[in-house]
Amino acid sequence: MKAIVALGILGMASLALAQSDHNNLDKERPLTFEDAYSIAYRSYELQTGLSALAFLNRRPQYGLRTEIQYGFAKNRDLSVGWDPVYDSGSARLRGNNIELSYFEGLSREIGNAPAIGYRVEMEAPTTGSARNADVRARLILSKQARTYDKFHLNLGVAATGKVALGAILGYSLPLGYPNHFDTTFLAELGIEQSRMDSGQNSWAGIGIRRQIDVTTVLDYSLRMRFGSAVSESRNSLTFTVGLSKSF
Amino acid sequence: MIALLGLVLSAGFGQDQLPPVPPDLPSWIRAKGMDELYYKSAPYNWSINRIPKFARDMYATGVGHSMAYEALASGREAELETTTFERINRILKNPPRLPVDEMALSPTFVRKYGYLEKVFDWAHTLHFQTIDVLAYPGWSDSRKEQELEELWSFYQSEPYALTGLPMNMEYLDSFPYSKGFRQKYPKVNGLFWGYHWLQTVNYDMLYRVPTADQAPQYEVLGERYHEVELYNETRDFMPMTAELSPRFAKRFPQLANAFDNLHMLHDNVNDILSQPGLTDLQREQQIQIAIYRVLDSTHRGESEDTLRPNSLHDHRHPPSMPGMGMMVGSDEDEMYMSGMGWMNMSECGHCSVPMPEEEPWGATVTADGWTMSVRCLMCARDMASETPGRAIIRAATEDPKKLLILVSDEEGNWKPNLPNVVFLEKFGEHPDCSGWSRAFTNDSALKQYLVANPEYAGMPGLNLSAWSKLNQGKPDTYRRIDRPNPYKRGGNK
Repeated sequence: MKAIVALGILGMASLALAQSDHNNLDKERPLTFEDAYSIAYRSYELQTGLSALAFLNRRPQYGLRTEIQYGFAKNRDLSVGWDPVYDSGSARLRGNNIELSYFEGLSREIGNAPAIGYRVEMEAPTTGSARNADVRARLILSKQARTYDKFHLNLGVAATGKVALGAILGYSLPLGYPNHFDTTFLAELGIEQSRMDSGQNSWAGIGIRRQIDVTTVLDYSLRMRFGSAVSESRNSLTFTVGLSKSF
Repeated sequence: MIALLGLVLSAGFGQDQLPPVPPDLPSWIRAKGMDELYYKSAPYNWSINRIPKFARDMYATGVGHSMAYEALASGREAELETTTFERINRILKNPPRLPVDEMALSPTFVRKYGYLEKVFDWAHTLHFQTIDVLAYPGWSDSRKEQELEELWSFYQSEPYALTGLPMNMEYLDSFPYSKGFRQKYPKVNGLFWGYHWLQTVNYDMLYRVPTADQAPQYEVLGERYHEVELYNETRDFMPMTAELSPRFAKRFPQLANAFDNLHMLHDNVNDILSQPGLTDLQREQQIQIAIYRVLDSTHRGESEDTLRPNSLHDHRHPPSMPGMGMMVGSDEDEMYMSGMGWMNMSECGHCSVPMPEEEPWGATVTADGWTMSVRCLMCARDMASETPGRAIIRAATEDPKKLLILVSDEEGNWKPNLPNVVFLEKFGEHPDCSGWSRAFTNDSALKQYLVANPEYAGMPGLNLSAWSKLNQGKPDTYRRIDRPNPYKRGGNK
């Protein structure tokens, strides 16, 4: 746990000195929220990220989330994702779920109106009953704050037997303007209803996206869950490092 | 009177003074989506980075455009010539290593004029991909030319595409708001025209030039760009592609015209955004009309034969240059070039003899910010020697696949790309100069030429050192076109 915190802080400190990126903000890369814009029409994007989830009272979990997106039409993309998790406590690998997702950008920012988009996604096990499928939808609003920074509100609903609501307030700030143009700082504050009981999950996170070449973005984040319906997940810390490559 | 004028201006332009909104304005202009487009997938993408200094300077042009537009769109035009200029200039002197997302740098501008950004963004993609094709080392020249045709079709498949037909530049620069920006903000306008100089001079640097010989030319062009062109406030009109890359413009007129139409749209937008008398609605409408004028869809089905002089549908071009619309004062092939005066594009810039119709095509000379076509190596050398500063000569050899590139230093010492280059020069009548003044890739090629052309039998081949010491002076065939600068006529052009 201490090692992960130290690694995370070290990573954040070194990148905070680096430069800025203004590409699309994608879900889970590296934080949970996303902006209201699709990837470019005709582009593919491969995203992958290694995460380490550390708990106070049990051994960590490790994830390797991987997703491929395709901008199949203007303002629309489709994606297929896979999010295997290795639990070092039980020495078990969970990874038989496939995530299918559709995004549509309805409007860019025009005048004082925010950009609007929505995402619908379904996560289903590749084996077993389709009744275990998890269906989620989110409405996304992005709005210029001062000059270059933006707020991103993600309002979500999930249905797996029980309907659960959630909201994430995201924030993006290009670093280094007007001298450097390849790094963006991100922050988020999220809350969602538990799908297992009447409790709530809440978390906060900070992250960095950095353009390392014309088609590749490196991302880092540190996310802390400070309220959770599952007691062992309370005060857990997730460190993520990932790459996105468009082609 | 002044108070009355102020009242008129504060109330906005009268609607009858401004061009009306056309009834067939394309519907995509009102669409709400961001419509971000990906470039054509290909192995050559980002080959521009093979010439790192050039790539970084090109990336910085995007920053310069965006920062100026953001200042104009957010009511900070008063600081355009001071704070904004200094901020842009810092970036131009320390250009970014990666391309910059222009929309992220000009969020207020994009919130107001997002449809315009779609046109700019798509045309800038064409600019960059054209460069990438030409800078790619993996293909032959003919494969690259085929790809540029395909790239043009790909570009035209989107509704934001600009027309590849020549447009009458005098007409496009003749509206009530026209020319205001260059007069009111000469420093930032100089930057814009500097970017457009770079974006047009580069194509002859790359076209049919072996990739290894491209970067050395940028040592000359980059120096000129940073030391002069970005800060040039005396240019009469925006740089034209055919003016700076005549070979490329002649071969790919549709691309050259689209780039010129894009740059004129930039000038129109600058004029509209900086025009104090316009209301927000008028500003928006005039920008939409300016886009409409140069869109491919507005001119679909038309051709260079569509002759409606001095109108929106005037697609005439100088007979010898299909890659350029008619300019202020243009008469057939004669046009006024900033820094050079009146020139005839069908003739050698040095001896005024008509350019050859067949191979060898001659040479071009780039010096002092201009590029001129000349008939032969002698004209190229002597024209360069008449011009202070560094120069580039690009010349045909006996092998159509091998271009001779000569780059000079400040003292006029030439450095060739072909190590065994040998020259023939037997001074005679200028109309025949493309026969007796030539370059060969090696000595045996020269000997073959002498065998095939017995009139030059016995002529020695000259090495670079001997050839560069020659100077035949101003040719007696040179004909100066003595006409006044058309942009100064009336004192306000």
